[in-house]
Order: sequence, then structure tokens, then C-alpha cells
Amino acid sequence: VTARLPWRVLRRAVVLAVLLAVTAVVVPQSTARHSDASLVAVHSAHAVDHPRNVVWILCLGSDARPGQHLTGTRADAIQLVGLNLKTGAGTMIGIPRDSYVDIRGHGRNKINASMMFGGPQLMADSVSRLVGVRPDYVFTTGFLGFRAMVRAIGGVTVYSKYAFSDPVRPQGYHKGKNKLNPFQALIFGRVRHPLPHGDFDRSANQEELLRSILRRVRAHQATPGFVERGVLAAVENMDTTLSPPQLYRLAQAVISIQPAKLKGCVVQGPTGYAGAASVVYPDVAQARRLGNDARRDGTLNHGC
Amino acid sequence: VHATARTRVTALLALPLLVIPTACTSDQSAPNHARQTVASTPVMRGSVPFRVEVTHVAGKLATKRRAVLAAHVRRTLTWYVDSAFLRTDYPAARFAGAARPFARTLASAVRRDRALLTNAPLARSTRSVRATHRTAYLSVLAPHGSPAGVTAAVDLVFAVDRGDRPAQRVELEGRLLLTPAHGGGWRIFGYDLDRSQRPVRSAS
Repeated sequence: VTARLPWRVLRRAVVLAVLLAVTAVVVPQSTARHSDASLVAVHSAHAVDHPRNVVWILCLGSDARPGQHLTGTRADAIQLVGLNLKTGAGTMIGIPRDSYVDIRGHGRNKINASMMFGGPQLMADSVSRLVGVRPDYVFTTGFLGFRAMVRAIGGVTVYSKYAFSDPVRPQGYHKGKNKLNPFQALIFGRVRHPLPHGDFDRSANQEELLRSILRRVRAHQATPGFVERGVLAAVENMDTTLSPPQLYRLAQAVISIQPAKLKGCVVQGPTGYAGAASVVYPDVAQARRLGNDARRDGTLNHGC
Repeated sequence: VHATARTRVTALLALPLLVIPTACTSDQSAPNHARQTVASTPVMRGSVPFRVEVTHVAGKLATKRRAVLAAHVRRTLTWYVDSAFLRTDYPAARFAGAARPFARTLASAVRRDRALLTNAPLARSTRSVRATHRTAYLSVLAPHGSPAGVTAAVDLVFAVDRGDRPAQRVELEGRLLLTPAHGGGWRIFGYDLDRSQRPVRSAS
């Protein structure tokens, strides 16, 4: 048993790393869920008008608690990721979880409630109505495999925009380069209070985590069997409607993206209250501008 | 002194294949196109055998099925190598068919990289081409005991005879990515290759 445990951990870890290198998750306090991740094709993907060499994946971090379905609870990390398979460039559009938007059939609410109301399809709908880009896939994960993933790839190196402190990292998070262990990486994607712009900076940190994971995964991609082991773990552990060959292609697509060409922007907006709830009123014009900029080539040509 | 020219080409993925359900074909069926091409493309003689081996399997794949898989992937790779290098119609070669083992949505990338993926740059001065080394080691994704994806780590070395001009050693090294094709067989949906070229006489 002791000999097999690390391998299981590795497989679970590689799943997330390979299949997206993509979702920085907001991690709940504890977990035990039905599956570690899910990946579904958006029903109307064929209607999306985009070049065939561009794929959009909505990456969600679920706050599912023990016993809850991963895709039946709120999505607290929301990143719309566009990948240009021809150029190796990509775009991450971070959406604050408290963004107050219209949810089809449910009135105005925080965007992360879409997942609870209608699962990945409704979440994709809400995001596409805000940004103007409809994802081809929705990838949802909890945090169960996150630390194992980071452990399996030997930690990650992130570039922090701000210095801040947290008990998990006695030396603190420095402005600039930080090599993080799994728990420290987790916290890097979770904290918001020490950051000047709270949710917005946290979303940007999640994007940096994605970039750092992608860097590490790409460093291993030429290792024989690495990608295959990761996709196998996905097949075995993830709820998905994709066939194994489709998963395999998608995994290869994701890791073909060059981290240096993976640019991120976070949708901004003023904060306020809707009733008693603290919300963000997203800058719809900015969100649409980002969507219009990156829709066709998965590349932000005009900055944030 | 001749410098080694080394160029890298990458292309990946037939996106439409992601959203169109792909038949999870058995490895019992060989690619129809491969059978035709191998049979119809005259090939230079004198090349070393194409060694294709399964070296890593994620999942379970019986020994016999590994051998069958290797044979079928070998057909696809042989199609590519024969069409792209080992032809007999030099100097008039137009490399028709070299793109056929690749996913259709990679067609434009393959056209773009034609000078790197085929012997096109030397075609007009080529008398003959022999493969002096050709290996492909396969890492296989095999959930449920059936192969669903393959990374072929390839190393292909060709000796290009150019008559009274210096013969060239052309090497392609890197990865070819394959998944089962509709209708059977295996198709290349991505590649990440380095190509180098140097005069044979300067080879170590």
C-alpha cells in the first residue's frame, strides 16, 4: 500500500496539471466529493463562431463541500481561458466570483450562483453573456487534487505582484519570484484580504498559478508516458462527456500553449451591496471588449 | 565547414475532432489510407527496417494487443515516411499524399511546414533517399484495455543521395501524436519535431 499511494497521488495530480494546467482553485476548508473534476462540452459549441484553431475553456473552482456534487454548488474561481493552438498563445479572463449579473431564468444574482442553479451549462451561459465568448468546454474542479498536483510537479514558482504574509509561509510571499510548496500555492490562489484589490488581485493570482503550473507541466511533457498517465487519471477520476481520444487531444492542446504567451486580465468593476450581499458590479463594457479582442484568435491584442 | 541546419516545427490538434465524437476504434483495424499508400507509393530500396515499439502504457494493454497496436501505428508512420522521403519519383516529386496521415484540420499547418516535414527542399537535386535509422517508441493511453492515444517518440535519419553534389544527412526527431481515426487506423493530430540537415561527409 505504501508503495502505491504516491503513484495514485501522482496520477490524480497529473490529471489536473495535464488537462488544463489551467484552474487555480479557490479551496474550501475540507472536502470529500464524488469526483475530483468534471469536463463537459458546452451544448451549443457548434454554434460558436470562432476559428477552428481556437478553443475556449471555462475553468471553474467549485466550493463543493463533503458530500456535495462538484457541479452543483457555487463556482468560486472563474477563469475563461482561450487557447490558440496555432500560435501557442492564450488568454485568461478572470471574473470575480461576486460579479452581479443576470442569470438566465433566475434573475440577478452573483455569477457564481449559476453553477448551483444550472450546473456547467448555465455557468457557461452566464459567463458568455457577460464576456461575449461562449466556451467550448467547462472544466470544473474542487481542490482535492490541487496540492497533490503541485507536489507531483515539484512545487511551482510564481511571480507575485504584491508582498504579503500568511502563516503557511513564514518567510512571507515576496513581490516577484516565489517558489511555493503545495499548501503555499493553494493559499496563493485563495487569499484576498492582504491584497490591495481583494477579489481582483486574487483572480490575477489564480491566473499566475495557472501559468506556473503550465510551465512545470511543459517541462515534463517530453517525458515518455507523462501525458498518457495524466489523461488516464482523468478518464478514471473525472466526470466527463468526452471520449478518451478527445481528452487526449485536449490535454495535448492545453500543454502546447506557451506560458509566456498566456496573458491574463481580470474584469474590473465597483463593489457594493445588493441587499445584504457584497457584490461586484462588473464592468460589462470592459468584459465585452476583452471578449471581442480575444474571441477570434484567443489573444489579447489590446491589453486589459 | 558546414553548419548543421536545425529547425523545429510544431503543430497540434484538430479542434473539430474534439467536439465531434470520435469512434473509439479497436486496434484490430488498420488505417485504410495507410494500406493504400504503402501499397501504391513506390519506395526506395535499401532502407533499414522501421522499428516501432510500445514502451510505456498508461492503463492496461495485453502483450498481443501491444504488438497489434505497434503494427498499426507503424503503418501510419510508414505512410508518412514513404510519402515524404522515400519516394522514387525524384526530382519531380510533389509529395502528394504526405499529408494524408495527418488530421484534415492540420492540412494548412502541414502545407506550411512542408519544407520541414518532407524532402521538398532537396527534391530537385535528389537522386535517391534511404532511411539509415528509423525508430518510434510509443507511449500509449489505454483506458479500459483499449488504446485511445499515442505519443510516438520518433527518430528518423535519411541519407539523401544528390549525385555529384554533397549527399545530405537529414534527421527528424521529436514527437508525433496520434489518436484512432474514423473508419479504423491511426491518424496524426499533432507533431513537435526538430529537423536537422548536414552533409554526410561531415557526419561523425
